[in-house]
Amino acid sequence: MIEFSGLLTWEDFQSAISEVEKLSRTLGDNWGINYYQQNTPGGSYLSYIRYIELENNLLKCEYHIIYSLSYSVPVMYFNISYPNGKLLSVTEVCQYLKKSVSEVSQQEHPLLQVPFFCLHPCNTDEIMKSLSIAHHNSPLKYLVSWLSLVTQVLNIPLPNEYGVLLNH
Amino acid sequence: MSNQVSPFSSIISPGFWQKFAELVLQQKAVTSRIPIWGYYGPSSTKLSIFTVDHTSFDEYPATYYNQLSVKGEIISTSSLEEFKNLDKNSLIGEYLCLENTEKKPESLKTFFILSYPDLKSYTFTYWFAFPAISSIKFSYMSPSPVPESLLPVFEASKEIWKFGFFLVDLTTCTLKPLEENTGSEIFGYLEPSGIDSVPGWVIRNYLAYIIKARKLQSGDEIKLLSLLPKKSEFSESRIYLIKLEFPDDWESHPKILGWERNENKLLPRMVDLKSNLDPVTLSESFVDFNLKLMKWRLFPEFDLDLMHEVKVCILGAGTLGCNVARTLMGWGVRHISIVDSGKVSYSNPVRQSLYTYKDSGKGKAITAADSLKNIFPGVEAKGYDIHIPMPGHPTSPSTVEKVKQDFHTLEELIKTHDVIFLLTDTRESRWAPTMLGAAYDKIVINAALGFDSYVVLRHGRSTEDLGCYFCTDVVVPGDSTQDRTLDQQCTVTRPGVSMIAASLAVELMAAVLHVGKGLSKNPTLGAPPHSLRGWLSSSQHISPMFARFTNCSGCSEKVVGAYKDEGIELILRVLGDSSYLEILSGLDKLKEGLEGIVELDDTEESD
Repeated sequence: MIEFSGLLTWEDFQSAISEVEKLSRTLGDNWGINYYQQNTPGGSYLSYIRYIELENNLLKCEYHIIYSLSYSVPVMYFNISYPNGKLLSVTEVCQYLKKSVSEVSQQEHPLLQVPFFCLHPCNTDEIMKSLSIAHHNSPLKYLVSWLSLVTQVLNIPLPNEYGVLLNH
Repeated sequence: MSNQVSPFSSIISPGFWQKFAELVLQQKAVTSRIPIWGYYGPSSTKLSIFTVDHTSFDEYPATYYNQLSVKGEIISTSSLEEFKNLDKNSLIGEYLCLENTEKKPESLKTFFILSYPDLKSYTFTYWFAFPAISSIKFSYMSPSPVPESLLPVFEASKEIWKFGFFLVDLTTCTLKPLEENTGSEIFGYLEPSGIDSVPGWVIRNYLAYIIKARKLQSGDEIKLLSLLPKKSEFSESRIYLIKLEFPDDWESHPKILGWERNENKLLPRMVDLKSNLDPVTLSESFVDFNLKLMKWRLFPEFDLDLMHEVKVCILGAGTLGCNVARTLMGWGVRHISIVDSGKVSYSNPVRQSLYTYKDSGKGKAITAADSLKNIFPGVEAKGYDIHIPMPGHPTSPSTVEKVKQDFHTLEELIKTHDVIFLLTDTRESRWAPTMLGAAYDKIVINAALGFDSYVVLRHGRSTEDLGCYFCTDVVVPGDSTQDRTLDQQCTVTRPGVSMIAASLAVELMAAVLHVGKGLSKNPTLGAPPHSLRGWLSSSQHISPMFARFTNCSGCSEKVVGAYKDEGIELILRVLGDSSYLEILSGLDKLKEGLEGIVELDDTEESD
């Protein structure tokens, strides 16, 4: 299933994020599952919040790992907002992340239906295929490998302790 | 007495304003108060963060890891004046009632937001307040670590300390809720401050509660446990010795403070959320975003700004006109003018995609423009109910003024727009716009339909030796409608043909506009053909090119020159007598010449 396609099923995604949440609690980290639409495929997501200081402002960064039913891969959605609730614009986000507008797109959050940025999932299966030896047959390893890649792109700290899940 | 506290810094999630805007709109609120939840927890930065988000309006608060919830209110005023004139001191005093605090410790932690939501401009003026008694002075001394035996108790008794304030029984190593105060326990609280030895804001009201609960006197000292969960450990928590000082009248003159400072000043804050909340702005940015995807992934020379700025004039709001207008919006075109003198008839809506049956009887040009705005509010669409002057359709004294007015409007439209689509239903109605388009060197795109066939062509610009709609005709446009039967007067076509022709016409425009933009050796949209002709039944589609005709009744120098010299006078002359165009263009001489050639003597025999 995963070795050749680079894809993940919804059930596997659910079990993988559950393990991540458990570990996060013991590490005192705040990755948590939001059961938005409990019984619908794709209806729960893993979320993480952190605050960063940028030029005298404390920005709130909210990250949602959502399962994409059409691509069969996890997708990283995120928003960065000022303390007054205003979202950073596309240009500001690109400036902060030092990325170009083509890598980061602003879309409608599939569950909350509000504007969110996302790292486009169209190449995820290719990338995960190339890592297939590392996460051979394990949805949890798949998710953690994927997570280590996207958290790097967005400068989210993911302590090495999460690597423990790769040896599960 | 150091008296220092770390005040709360409010952080609002975008979802909070969204929810709030929805509620205000539904309630059509005059001044109103809506209960909300706020959250705070141990600090990971130097600030004590207090947050509200989309869950704030739910009946029950969300359970966030290591965060506790606070019940509060958002007060909305219906005008900025009301916001400014509200007595801030009495408002904040109203929120804190010490008697209540004794009986119901929940009121120890309270907050509210004063707001003025302006839902026309999507700006929110707001001011957080964390009411607290300031008449009690205190100092934090002698911090000591929490006894090791107590640490596992915190992990196990999460439910108790999650209230924010609790009792610690050192002898039994247990936590108890505030109500079970017997006098021997230490008071504890969740520390929102991230600064050593500087407590969070919540301490102020807590000390007032403690003084009453233990009947303390000014000068007394007590121990307080400041709980600081870090990761899943509590070892950074501290027990402090607090010395208290307060005047006798501290209860009757509590000196309630708590309005949040804005860059150190006691001022409200304002946030402009038009780009996040206004549906019109959102629709524009999502439409543009979609178009930009085309640019990044497939069509690098795409000029979206050009599409936003180009001014397009559509002559004829029938099947072709409606479909062209919609497809233009798909390309991001924002300025569309529509000309038509007709009214929507019952047969129109099924083929003319900007009308519904409810529009029957209404003027086409204006209805089409309104329909475009309904589809995409960011478009600037305007309808013009004018008659296009046609050769061979004479005026009468009663109509001549209107003809002159309409012609001037048409003239202005063509002068001020960049692209003209000729999509009218007769040949002769295309004459004046063709000539005007040539006179002002505009991009003119013509489309016409047969039952089974279509032609789409672009008129040659001044620098091109390419022909126009009339260049292949040796017959001048004249009244074609006079003797026609009903089915000849309106073009009866296979319904799909008009959509095909309209789409081709718009794509032709896009290709023309992008000619010369980078990649000119290999333009992504292809080199724009001169004309496109197709026949559905034989699945044929060709793109012929033909030259400009020196005796063209529409675009030749002689005709255009006459217009530049005479203006409306030329028009009036042509309307009355289309044969004048023959003379002007030189077609009459040409025909004479041809007649000469054609008169062959059939009886001649070769020798």
